[in-house]
Amino acid sequence: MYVKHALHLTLREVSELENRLEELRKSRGIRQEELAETLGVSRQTISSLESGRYNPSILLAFRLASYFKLKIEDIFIYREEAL
Amino acid sequence: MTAKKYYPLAVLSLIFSTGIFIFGLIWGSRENGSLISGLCMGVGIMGISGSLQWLIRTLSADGEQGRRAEVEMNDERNCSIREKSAYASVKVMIPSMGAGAIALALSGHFIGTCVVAGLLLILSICMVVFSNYYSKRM
Repeated sequence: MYVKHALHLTLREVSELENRLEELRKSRGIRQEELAETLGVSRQTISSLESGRYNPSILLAFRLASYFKLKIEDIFIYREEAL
Repeated sequence: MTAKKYYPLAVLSLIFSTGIFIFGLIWGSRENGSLISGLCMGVGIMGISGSLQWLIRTLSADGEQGRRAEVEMNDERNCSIREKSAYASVKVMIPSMGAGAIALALSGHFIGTCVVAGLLLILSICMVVFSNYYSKRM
């Protein structure tokens, strides 16, 4: 049980979510305000998502994927450094 | 969201609440620590806080500004910020209120101690009840 707990902590410490949001948005010539307007969120949320300070809910991730006509994993990249 | 037509009512409510609060303040300075003064000040503060919230809602009720305010209100990052800040505030408030209750008890203010201890009790009960409620719903 302790090993499992320690394993979980290790995973949690090193796993991170990266995204290609800024790259995708700029490649399509969309402004943050426009994207925020379409998705029904604030511009600050888009900015925080792009800088990686904030991870979206699964619903917002699906809305983003649907907007860019891509899969979620094409936008968000889950990295697990350890193990 | 509340329509803009309620703006005069919100202003009136704010003026009325401020009046009650000032009346309580003046009454309290004349008759030291009277019940009416405390009651007026408490009701006044509640009214001011409620009226201000109402006023802000009525000011941003219509048009583009209202729609933006609604987006900001329902924005998931803003919701998350609100939840985290509320949690952090409660974490600070519980020991502060505990210290306040001890200080009041040591200085012999029985009613004050009861009020603060009662608020702490209500807070604890709310935490247990809401925690159970959300653990069943989520």
